[in-house]
Amino acid sequence: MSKTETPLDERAPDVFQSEKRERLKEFKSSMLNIVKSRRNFKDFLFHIILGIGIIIIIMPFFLVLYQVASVGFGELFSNGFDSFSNFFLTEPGRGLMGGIRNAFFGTIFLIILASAVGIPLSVFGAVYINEYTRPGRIRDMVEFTSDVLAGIPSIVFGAFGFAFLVGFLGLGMGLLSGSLTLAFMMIPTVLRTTQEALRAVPMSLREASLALGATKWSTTWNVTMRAAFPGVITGVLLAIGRVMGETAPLIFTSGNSLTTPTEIVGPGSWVASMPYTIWSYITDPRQYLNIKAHATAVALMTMVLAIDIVANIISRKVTRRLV
Amino acid sequence: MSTQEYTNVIEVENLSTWFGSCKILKEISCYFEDNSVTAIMGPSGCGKSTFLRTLNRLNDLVPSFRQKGIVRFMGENIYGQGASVYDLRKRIGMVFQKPNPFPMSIYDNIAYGPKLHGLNDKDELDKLVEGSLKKAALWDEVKDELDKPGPNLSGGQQQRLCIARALSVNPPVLLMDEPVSSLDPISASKIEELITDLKKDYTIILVTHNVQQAFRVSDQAAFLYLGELVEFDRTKRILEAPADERTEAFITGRIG
Repeated sequence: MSKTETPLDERAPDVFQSEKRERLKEFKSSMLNIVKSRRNFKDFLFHIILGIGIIIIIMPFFLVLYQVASVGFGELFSNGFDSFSNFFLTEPGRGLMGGIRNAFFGTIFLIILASAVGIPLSVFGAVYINEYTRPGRIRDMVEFTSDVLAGIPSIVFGAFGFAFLVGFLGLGMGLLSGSLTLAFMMIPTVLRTTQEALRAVPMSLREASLALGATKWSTTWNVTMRAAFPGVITGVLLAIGRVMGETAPLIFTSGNSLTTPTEIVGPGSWVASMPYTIWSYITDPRQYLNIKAHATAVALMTMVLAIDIVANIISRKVTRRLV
Repeated sequence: MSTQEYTNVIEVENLSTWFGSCKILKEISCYFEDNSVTAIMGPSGCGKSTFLRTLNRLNDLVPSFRQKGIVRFMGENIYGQGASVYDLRKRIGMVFQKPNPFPMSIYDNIAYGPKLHGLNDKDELDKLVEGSLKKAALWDEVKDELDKPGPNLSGGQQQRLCIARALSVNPPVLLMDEPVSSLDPISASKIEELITDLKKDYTIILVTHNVQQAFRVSDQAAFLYLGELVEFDRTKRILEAPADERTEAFITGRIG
């Protein structure tokens, strides 16, 4: 390299400057263009409108989060980890001054039991209608019913649960009736997402398995379900997230309790849940219960969010591993 | 299936098939010799794939499928009473037009077939996976990454994986449905080489619409046109001196 050449690092800022100037010029001319031509202006306007639309779409989430967290965070973290663990691990006690242990574990029990009934039922149902029946009347009917089921208001599920499970089957209010009602609510989501996932599995994959001498069952279980797994798990977790926040189906079916349930059926099985607790605390005139309701809401939202994130991670990891 | 006396591994007699009321194959009779490559040629929609899928009864999946006539595999009618479709498909492997590896690791892709048929010994499986991959000329490329997902391989590798998968249950006959039509020329020539190699141990029935390919790899050829078997003879004879003008038109590219 000869000495007369300018070293690179000294020349660099200048190049950068000129590039900056160049960009500014470009920006100016593009702005001018917008004003100059009617078509460009329309294009620009549409861009702005869409942008505003997006802001309106995402705003409610942050508004809700802010509103709930601004009141509830104090209750959860006023005293560091102690107040946090106390909130979840002590029972309401006298005057409901304590934590929400009853509702926290109640929700967990309800979800576990509801999932144990609802998920296998809907997944196997979807497998049956997609893999074992031909397109036709039966398939149409099952799909139609499950779509209608998805549109039924949750309070109607509650009323049905009360009339059928609590009354007609004589299960009484409690954990089992509440869970089964939630399980009914999970069916449409899980069934339809499983169906979609199965439909997305290419036919040639099934044929490859059958051509090796596999039975239909082992093809469905080892190949088709495996390929559809990310879609299925996403549907399952979405359904869990959805029923986790349901109040209405539980009002007439699960009862309420200040302690965690000791039975599955019977008087000891009455169970509180987080959404129900939010509702009853927030309609209470006592100010401190209002705050507790917000804290519960923060906790519930975090749990649902966590499930969604887990759903994402699992489906992505599995997708990477398998496909 | 019991072992009966037979001269050719697969013999087809007066085979006709229908989808609904639409007749796809019309009274086809031919045979496939042991350790040979037979090319089934013909323009699109002439029933090549249907014919191939009739041989391993994969068409049974289509509810409206019907067939008449006899297909003898090792001397036994595969559509006869008491014939086990699972046993048949185990003994007639198939490779598809588009590579379709299972969404599993390379190892599991190969081990899937043997496991289905009751092989669970880890050492045996390892040996079988290695052997199958070697036969499919894929072992050197993937021996260090057997736990990687099969679908992550390149298109040509995927197709060789599918061939290895088909070979894993050690079928005497291998059906190939246009195995190279979705691959690049280099991968395609690798697979053609492979077909020539495999001929030593397997009977290969290859569907193709590529005349040059048929000429390069096959011993016998069958020319199908609108469901009819127009010619069936040594490939060389058909391509050098076609007896029927439809065959000639196809070879010279006037139909296809």
